[in-house]
Amino acid sequence: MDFEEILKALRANLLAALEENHSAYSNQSVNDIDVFLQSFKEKLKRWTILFAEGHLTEDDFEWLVKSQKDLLVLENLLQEGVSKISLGHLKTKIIKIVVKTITVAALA
Amino acid sequence: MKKLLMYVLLFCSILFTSCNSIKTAIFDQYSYQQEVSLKIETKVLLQHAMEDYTLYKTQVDALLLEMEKMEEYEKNKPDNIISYQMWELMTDADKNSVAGLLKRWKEKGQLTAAFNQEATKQIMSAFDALIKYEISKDKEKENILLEIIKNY
Repeated sequence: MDFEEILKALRANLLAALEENHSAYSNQSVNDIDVFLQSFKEKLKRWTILFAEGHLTEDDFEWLVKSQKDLLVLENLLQEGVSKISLGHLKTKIIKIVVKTITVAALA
Repeated sequence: MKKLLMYVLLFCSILFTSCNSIKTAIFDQYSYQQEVSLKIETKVLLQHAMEDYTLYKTQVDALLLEMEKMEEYEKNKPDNIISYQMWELMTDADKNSVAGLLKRWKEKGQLTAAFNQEATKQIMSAFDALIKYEISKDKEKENILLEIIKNY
């Protein structure tokens, strides 16, 4: 399992979903996706391995990804006044894409 | 004497203006102590989350009650919207933070070791964000005073 390849595929899927919803996505949207992914790259790798080895269920995995979104909200609140990412993008669809891409790739 | 009085008035007016422009509640020792205490209580309780929930229901309820009290305390402090929003997220059972994890433990009966370990790390990071924010209020106060002293 090549995690870097999975991450590349995940980024591509997220950007494709953005493009699907908006005819032209902004640089800000791309940046938001990158910030979100970078914020938990190491964790995501660990969770992917735990899932692939059967230690986490898909439901567990999804819970953890959602917890990362909530943690990001808290950390943005912490950095009050600092440029904030627009979390509007990180809604249900984005979480579902992350879970689907990773779980399918991890079990391939 | 008049000159001294003028300096005192000037100092007070700068301090008043600075505090008003920031509009953030000042560092609160009680909030800080409660946040640290609740973080450790949560960590200790979650060490048992691989066991049957019903054995720890009383402790979970007590912890949630303490967290709700803190949310209410932060809600009523003036200029404290950020801390209040942070508490709101952590006490919302439908979010994936502290109350959300305790709800999942209740629903599942018990959590698996791997999930509990990873989820606990997420929860501890959430508390850290809250604690860091409270500490930063003190830093702001210190910076304001330093600025006033520098410009005096």
